[in-house]
Amino acid sequence: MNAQLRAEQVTVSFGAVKALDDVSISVSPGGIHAVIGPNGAGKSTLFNVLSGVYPVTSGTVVFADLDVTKSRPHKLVRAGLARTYQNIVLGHVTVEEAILLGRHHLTRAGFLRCALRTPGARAEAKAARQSVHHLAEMLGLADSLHRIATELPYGDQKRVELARALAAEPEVLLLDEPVAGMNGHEKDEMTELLATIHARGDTTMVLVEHDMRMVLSLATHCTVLDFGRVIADGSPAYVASHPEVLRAYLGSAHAPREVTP
Amino acid sequence: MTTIDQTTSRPTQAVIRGVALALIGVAVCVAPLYLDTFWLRTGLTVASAAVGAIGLTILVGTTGQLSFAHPFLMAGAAVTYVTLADNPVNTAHLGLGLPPAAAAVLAIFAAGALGLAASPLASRLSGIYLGIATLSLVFIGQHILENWTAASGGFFGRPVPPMSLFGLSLADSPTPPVLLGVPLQREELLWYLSAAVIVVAWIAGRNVVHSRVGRSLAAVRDSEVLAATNGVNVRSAKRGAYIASSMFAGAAGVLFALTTGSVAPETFNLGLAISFLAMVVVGGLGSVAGACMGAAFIAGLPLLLQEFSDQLPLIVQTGEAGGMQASTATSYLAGALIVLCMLFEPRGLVGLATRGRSLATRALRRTRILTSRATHN
Amino acid sequence: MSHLTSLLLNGLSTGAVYALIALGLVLIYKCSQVVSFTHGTLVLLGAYLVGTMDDASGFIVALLIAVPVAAGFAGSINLTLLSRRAGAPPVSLAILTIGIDLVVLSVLTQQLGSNVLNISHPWGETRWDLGVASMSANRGIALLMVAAVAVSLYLIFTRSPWGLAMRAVSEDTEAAALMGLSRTTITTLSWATAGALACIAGMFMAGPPTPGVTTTVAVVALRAFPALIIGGLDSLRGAIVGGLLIGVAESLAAGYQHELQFMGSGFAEIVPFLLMLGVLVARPSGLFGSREMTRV
Repeated sequence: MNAQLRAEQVTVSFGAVKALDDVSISVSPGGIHAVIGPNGAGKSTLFNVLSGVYPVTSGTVVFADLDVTKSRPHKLVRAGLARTYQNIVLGHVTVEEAILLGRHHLTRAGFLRCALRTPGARAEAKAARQSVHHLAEMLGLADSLHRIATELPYGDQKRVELARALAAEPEVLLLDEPVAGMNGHEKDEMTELLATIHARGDTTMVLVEHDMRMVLSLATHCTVLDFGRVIADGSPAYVASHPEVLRAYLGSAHAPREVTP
Repeated sequence: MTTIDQTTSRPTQAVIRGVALALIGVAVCVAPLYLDTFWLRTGLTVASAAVGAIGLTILVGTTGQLSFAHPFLMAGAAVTYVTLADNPVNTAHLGLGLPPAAAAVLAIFAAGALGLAASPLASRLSGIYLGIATLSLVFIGQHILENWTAASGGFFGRPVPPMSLFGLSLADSPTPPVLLGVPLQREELLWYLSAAVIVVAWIAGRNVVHSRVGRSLAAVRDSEVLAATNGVNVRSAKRGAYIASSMFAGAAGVLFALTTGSVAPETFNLGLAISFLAMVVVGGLGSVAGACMGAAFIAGLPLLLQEFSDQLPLIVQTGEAGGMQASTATSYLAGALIVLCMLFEPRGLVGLATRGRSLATRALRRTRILTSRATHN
Repeated sequence: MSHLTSLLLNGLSTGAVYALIALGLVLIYKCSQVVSFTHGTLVLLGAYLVGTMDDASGFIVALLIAVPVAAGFAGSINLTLLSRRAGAPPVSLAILTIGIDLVVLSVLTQQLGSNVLNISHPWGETRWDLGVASMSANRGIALLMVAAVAVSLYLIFTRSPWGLAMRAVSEDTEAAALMGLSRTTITTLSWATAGALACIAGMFMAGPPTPGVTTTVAVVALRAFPALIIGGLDSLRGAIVGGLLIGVAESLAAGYQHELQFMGSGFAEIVPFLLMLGVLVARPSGLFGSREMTRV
């Protein structure tokens, strides 16, 4: 059974500003849960809370059996939680290396074994590489494995970022704006890809997205944030016709302050 | 675009690399038979610096943690070695009379232990914060050494007992071992030891950088948050990098002590810390080969300038007036090179080499394409 | 009692000089996220400039020329070198300042050699008698100077347009751009201000009770780094508190050196660094520095 991710009455304050105000969200296993809302609604903050990066001012967040607010992020990854970032950081490495980072918690070799390249460490590294190659195959990155990640087209970089998160074999995958900055064609491709991945495994997905079209076609459940509060929660169809949601989407255009990794 | 042409160039590259390594290996082995003491000493100094620089480049270049603590760690290892290896009967200082080889290994671990002791700082602080914190270790280390004269020898330092391996003392002797008719004295023997240590340090350093661990360290450098959400325990990664780097510094410290033949607290100062930074920056941050090139340049240059000062413009012998001392000239150059690297080629000498190589490959490919077109037409 | 009082007073006044240097470092950090390892040398440069012009033109003229020259020099370091790499990783920028430091320090070492340059402060060797204790006028004036600088920085930051822009830059580049000030302008101004403060600090540092301008000045100035860290990298208030704290700790350790004999001779010189390590272990962001938002 998939691990459960749940936040209850979470408030996050930056000084006088409440980025999240009494937000509760429950991600049901196996679904695709979309978090939507206008810029500055607190979506990124929520993601940072869910992935253990931001401390909460009050409230509880639980993943599997872990208290997320007290666990360091790498422990959450080990428990089956992975995430992507809207602003991609790939570093000056090959695509293969970038994706291999996702295998970190599934491999063991430490300083000494790496320095000595013990047979165990080599076998482990080889296996990790193989699984990365499989993943790259699936995501259409097989031809780019040995290219420098940051030199790929933007859409491909997004897929590298996704591959890295998938390499961790998560039970719950947090996707921070997976199609932001893409053109229409790329968006369709990515949507299809996510649907395929979801259909193939039993990965629970949580995604933050602006693109309503994508959300409506993909999500099984929607939570709408505005000014740090949940204004609607339910099926995509229910949310899309919710009057408060329409008002929030039509009526606001304040500048975003996105969190970079 | 940096694509690696897998079909043709990889095997060719491997062959070229193999031949080059073999040539270098042979050169290193026969060098002491032909070089005079000055060149051997320069080589030894560079070797010890290179071992330390490999450790520092893993910390600063790969992990993105600034550190000035290298002299402190080197001093710790050097003094540990001397104290453990010195004969308690003959010395005026502390001495435990351990076999030198055991003392050297323990000294490297002692440096690692110092690194471990610093881990409350090394694991929690990032980048510049750690840099400033380690600034204090240099001053505190010097203070301890200056005051704990029984171990360090105080201001004048203390002589270093020679290394001894498998019953062979690496020191001058009236009946030296002979290789191809050349008697192997202290410098020659130390040369082989240093070469062995460098090879080990190089391989270990490269292996770490290109491994699971190296990847996690690079991720920490690029973004701690990113590393953590990809399953990297950021604190233990930083702690590990610091301890590993400390042990390289320890090995460098022991080699340094053996090479100079005496340890004095004064040597392990802030200037040395900055020299090490210069080495890893000039060579190319995060590159093991770069660290060695940087070490050759920064550690070798003052010795060369000093030796050939009478043939060089501007440079004068220590104590002479009317020109520049070798050490000052090196400072100028090191500073200027750091600035140039940081402004124009953050990957240092290695970056320049890569650029040169890719230019050459591109030119080669272009001619190939042109010739193939010509034949098709 | 009067021994302790005079130690405290002297500590505060030494600390005032560290505070001046640390204030400059904080200004630079707030505006450009650069920690300037060139700063110890800028302090020496300031002292050197005053010292060389002092003989020919007298102290006041020398100071009036030296401060703007030092400010201009520091500003031009930013304009010609650092601003070209704006946005690079902080460690790279710090290393760049180390490179600059090596070059400038080599020039100064070459010029100074082992000479001692004297600065003819108008207050000379005068000591102020404050009843319970006395202090050198030089250090007393430094203390007053810090108070004046602190007040004017406070006013500049809260009242003047470029102070506001500076705050805007440290928080948000776009807001500053809206105010018509480029990031480069702001960071260059902060470097220039820091250069001027370093020059003034150097002038005080090379005065009584220390002998004139020697290369040691650059080393002593490094003790501003503990002050900076103890206060918190981005806190002006922290720089002042940190500076004074360091000064007092150093002065007490020197004053009670007999009682502290077991810590070894010259212990006072490393007290600032020990203090810094203590603070870092307990509070990694210093006493007043803003904390890291994210946890890893």
